[in-house]
Amino acid sequence: MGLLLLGLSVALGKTKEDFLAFLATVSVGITGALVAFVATRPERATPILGGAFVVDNFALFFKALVLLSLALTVLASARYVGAAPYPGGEYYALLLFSGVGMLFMASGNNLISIYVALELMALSSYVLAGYFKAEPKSTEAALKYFILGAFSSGVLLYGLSLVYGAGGVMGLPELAKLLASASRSNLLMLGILLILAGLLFKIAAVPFHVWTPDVYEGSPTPVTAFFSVGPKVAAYAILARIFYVAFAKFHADWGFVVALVSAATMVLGNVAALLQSNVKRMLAYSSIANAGYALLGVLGFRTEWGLWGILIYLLAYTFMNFGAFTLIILLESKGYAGESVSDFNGLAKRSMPAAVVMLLFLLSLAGIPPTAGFIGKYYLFTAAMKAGYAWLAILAVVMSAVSLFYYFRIAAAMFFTEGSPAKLKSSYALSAVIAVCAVGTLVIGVVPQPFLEVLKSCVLGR
Amino acid sequence: MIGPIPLSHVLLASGALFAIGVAGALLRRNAIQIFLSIELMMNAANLALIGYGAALGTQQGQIIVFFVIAIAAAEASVGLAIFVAIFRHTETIDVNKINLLKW
Amino acid sequence: MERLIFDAAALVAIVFAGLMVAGRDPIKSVLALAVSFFALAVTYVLLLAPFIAALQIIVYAGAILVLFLFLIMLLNVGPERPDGVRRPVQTFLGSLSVVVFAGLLLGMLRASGARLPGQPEAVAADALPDPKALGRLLFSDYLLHFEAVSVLLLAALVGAFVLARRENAQ
Repeated sequence: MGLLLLGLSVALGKTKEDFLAFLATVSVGITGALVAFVATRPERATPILGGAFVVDNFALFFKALVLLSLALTVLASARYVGAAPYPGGEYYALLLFSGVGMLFMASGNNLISIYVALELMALSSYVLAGYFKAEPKSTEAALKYFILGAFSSGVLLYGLSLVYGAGGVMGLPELAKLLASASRSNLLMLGILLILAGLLFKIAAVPFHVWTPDVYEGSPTPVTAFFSVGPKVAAYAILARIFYVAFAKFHADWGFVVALVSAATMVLGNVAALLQSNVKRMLAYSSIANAGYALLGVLGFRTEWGLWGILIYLLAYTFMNFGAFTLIILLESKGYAGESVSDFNGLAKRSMPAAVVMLLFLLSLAGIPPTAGFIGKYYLFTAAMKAGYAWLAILAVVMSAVSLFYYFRIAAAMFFTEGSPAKLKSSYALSAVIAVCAVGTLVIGVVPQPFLEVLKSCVLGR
Repeated sequence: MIGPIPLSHVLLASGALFAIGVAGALLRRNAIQIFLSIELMMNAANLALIGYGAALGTQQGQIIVFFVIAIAAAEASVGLAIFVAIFRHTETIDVNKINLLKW
Repeated sequence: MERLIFDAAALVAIVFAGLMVAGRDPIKSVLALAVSFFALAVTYVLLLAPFIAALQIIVYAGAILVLFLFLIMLLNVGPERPDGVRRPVQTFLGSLSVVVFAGLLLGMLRASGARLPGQPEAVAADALPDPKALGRLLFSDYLLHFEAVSVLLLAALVGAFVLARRENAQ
């Protein structure tokens, strides 16, 4: 279906540069149309291929989110990659490959398809991280991402094999039924913990977040923007599906571990971001902190708020985070600058709209009322509260307050300090992306009701 | 029990291999040897999968290992390409600046 | 009788894996790993998986390790000279976590005895299953995974090509 076409269009992705950006967006658009077409078909709910591939509302939401982040990345990198002395063709091809992987991850319903899809996404993102070969930072980012990524998928694989041993079957729904009756064997617990470890690496939660700042800083900015949105959201899809469907019974065991990880992620993410001068690293730590917030939803899955909270938060997160990174791309248009906070100062004078939009994204990241970030955080915190992790919800609120501080360091730089009066030239594609993200952040923030209703239907039916 | 071989033997062997793999990946400093240990970890998982598959009497275990081997081959090719890109840098610029093998 | 062969092969695999990790010279460790993979292939045959054993030898020991050797030769990575910088914290942490992990893993495997819930107690290991059944299963239930892995191989191909290509004068 959609993903096969995405793969096919990739094969043509070797020709001239700017035509490629157009071609890539067209292919993402066609895939989007196909996914929408599949969504309307009545008989789509039945899992096919022996339960390995299911297209339920939950999967459709994540497919839409993945396609959105893909389209935004392609648009954002149109000029950026064109300027760099590297062939654009393979860049878009790899981007679409990881897109295929993510689409597959969203609807993987048994352990093998999840693992295969995860690897497909991971492999193409290792190469994307190291795409600017001449830059030593980029290749070093690729190396670090590769080694830690391979290690974590080795751990994940071993966890899968232990769970397969305990359950005897690979499909998630069948596994849930089998495990419900099975006793709590140690091997099963170890298997679950190893799978959790592998997945926590992908969403850069604390014990496994080491790679994030270096890779985010090292790889080219549109790739960093993509990393912070695409793969992380897809990893959440798997985390939710595995732990909601298959391991629901053992909530007490992994619940405690996830609570600890979430608390540590929030604290470290925010505190570390305070000390950063490089904006990309600061946003990397802020995306780690956001992973911590989203973990609250995983904890609160007992109540129906939990999963609902995650879906809303991820939607909001995609818009605001991507928007912030696109701003950096805009600033970077004169080469590799735009990374330190000082590059932001005087932005208000240079181009008021850019400054206002950046302020909007910062507000949303910090979770201030009129923006989407607030809505997401609100639902997540209530989910955690309802699930009995009140102390975690309070910690989350405190940490959001702390995050206010470093977000406004950038805002202050923009409005109050003097900067170089160089006029900003923004390409057509870039301003389109920024506009989409800004509209998304605002609309979800101001009038969340329609989105909430749609997302309510996407919650995993149990 | 798979024929005369008790399942716990299989799992013990795969557990030992996995532990050695993790040790290698964490303690070694040479990027190539870290990657070798990761390959070893995946093999340990393969062994466990095949053992379980045989004990269950189905061929599902083998199918998974079939895919894992294909993925490991793809991973090896990408990983080694990254190593080439890195080594090309270290030859041209000062090594201890990006300190390739330690992070 | 098979139990003996299995234990011997498993032991060989473990010993050579240890050699691989402890080895200073990358070439020696690659060769040690190759021997360990061969021993694993023997265990696969005993575990009723002849097709996978052949695959293991051809793909793993044959292709991947040869690729490693090729790379080590190409980049003439010398034996790792201990550069004298002992980082006490990292090595301590690393070894501590490894010891804990290994103990945990082995303890668990020993304790659980790996009883499977409601599975056949002993599987008769008489006839080695032929790969035909494997193929049929592969192209029925797991067709989509097969296609996904083919896309994955294509992605790896493109990725490796992009990264390792010599700088063409642009």
